[in-house]
Amino acid sequence: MNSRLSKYKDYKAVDFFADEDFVTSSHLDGTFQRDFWSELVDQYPNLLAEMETARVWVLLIKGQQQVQSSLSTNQRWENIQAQIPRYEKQQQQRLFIHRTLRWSASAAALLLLGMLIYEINQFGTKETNTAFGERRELALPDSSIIKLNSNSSLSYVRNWKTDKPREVWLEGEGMFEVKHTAIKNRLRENDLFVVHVGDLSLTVLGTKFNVKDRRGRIEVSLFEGSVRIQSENGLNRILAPGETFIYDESAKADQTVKSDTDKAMAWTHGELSIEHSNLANIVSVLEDNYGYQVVVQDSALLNKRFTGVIPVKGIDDILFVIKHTMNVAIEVKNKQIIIKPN
Amino acid sequence: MLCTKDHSYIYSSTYAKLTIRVVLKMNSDLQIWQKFQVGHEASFKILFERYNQLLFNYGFKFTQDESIIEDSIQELFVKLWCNRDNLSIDVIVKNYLYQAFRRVLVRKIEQSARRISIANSSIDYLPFTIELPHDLSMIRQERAMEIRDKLDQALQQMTARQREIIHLRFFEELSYTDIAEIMGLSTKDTYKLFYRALDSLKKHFGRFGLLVLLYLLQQLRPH
Repeated sequence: MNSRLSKYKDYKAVDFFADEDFVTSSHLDGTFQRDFWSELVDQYPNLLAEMETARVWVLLIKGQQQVQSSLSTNQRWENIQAQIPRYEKQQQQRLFIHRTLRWSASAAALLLLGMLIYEINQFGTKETNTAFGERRELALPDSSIIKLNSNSSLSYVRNWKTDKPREVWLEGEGMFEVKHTAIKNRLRENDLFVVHVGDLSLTVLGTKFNVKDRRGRIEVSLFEGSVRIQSENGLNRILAPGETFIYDESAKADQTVKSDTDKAMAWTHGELSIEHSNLANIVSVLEDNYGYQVVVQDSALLNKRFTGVIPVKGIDDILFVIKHTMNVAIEVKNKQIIIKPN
Repeated sequence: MLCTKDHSYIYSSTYAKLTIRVVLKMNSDLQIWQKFQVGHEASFKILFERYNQLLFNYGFKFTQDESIIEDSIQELFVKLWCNRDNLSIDVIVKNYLYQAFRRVLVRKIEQSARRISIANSSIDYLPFTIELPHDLSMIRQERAMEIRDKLDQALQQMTARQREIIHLRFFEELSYTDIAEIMGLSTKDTYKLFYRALDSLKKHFGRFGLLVLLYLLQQLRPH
């Protein structure tokens, strides 16, 4: 008890003012408290003035007049009652906008995700195959266009790198229209377009050419621009428009001839050019592009020549023309065609 | 003896009933609050009636613009009612209301200040007035008038936020924890602000002046 009293012996008004016990005591009516503070004054009479000052401070602040507003509680209450439905309506509108926004945001996010997944799927190796008798036109990511003839395949690798040449791998026959991406006076590696076919690599910028790889024989016919033809065994040739480069894969022999561009292009229009062709050429077309096995019973027929262009809707058109121009009999059994002299 | 008697009188009677009422009110505040939360309109009205004048009074310390205070009270109670489902069920109602009201009011004052382009209207610069009573008859003290004037001067010397703490502490009878919550401060900072406010009181009431004089006289005395 004495130690509790002595704690206060040097207290000033400010200290009493800050003292939790003292401040609450001037509000609380605990008998202990009353005895305690009276006892403190008995013990240290000089504290009285300080305690009185502190007490007056508390009372003065406590005694502030409560401000009277011009609005009564009732009026205020009525205002609130009136405001509530207005606020609720406002909230509903806000909620609607919020929901719409959130819905659109999720839809947009989903769409974006879909596009991203699609884009990612575009990466990696892409391969396109055509079946017998099927022709297909492809657009590459750089918007080059490739027409793929029947029984052919084209593959390319798409990745994040853009500083490498565009490269594709071809089997069979295809007609290339390569998009020219180089800006004038500035040629970079990624402006090049490389077609890998058999042993050969054809490097181009922007050109139009046909590549045919059948029966160990590669033919490159150039229509526009230029093509550099290279192979691993040191071949390096630049082709001019109107030329056809022929390469024998087994003999590693090559020759360049003047070519009829219409003939090389004919297939892309669904036509079969048989100008200066003999039956042997047509047989190879039937076998390579349509997957038939062709049996010619009289080998003398093979050297017979044709002129003209056959529009090919299908195999029947070709057979019809052969039958009537060569005067032969044709038998079709499953995937076998037998041609015999009449 | 007389002094002691005098004391027992001063410290006993006046606040006994008040305290008991406060305790009861705290309890029923929460009960009413919880009833209000489940949509009991009458409870909401009781809550409103209990606090709207007090809040107005508190708001008036910050601004004399009654329309701002009215708007703040209105916004507070409209939002309370409309968002009652999302409110905490266990709150100290008075703290919650004062805190929320203060936030709305400060925002509205800042908005209106920005409209008339008063450069610095952040909370640190908002005024807070304590108007001490002029009628001192309830204080049984001969020096009351003198103390009042000095206290008034001391309060003027304080910062607005220090005055606000003094007000909440002694007029609203809130604890430091409650004050910290309402003012958005840490309890530690609240204490710090309070003790700095006391420095101002010390300056006006301490025997400091006399002590300095004695000290100086001692220094001047030739050895």
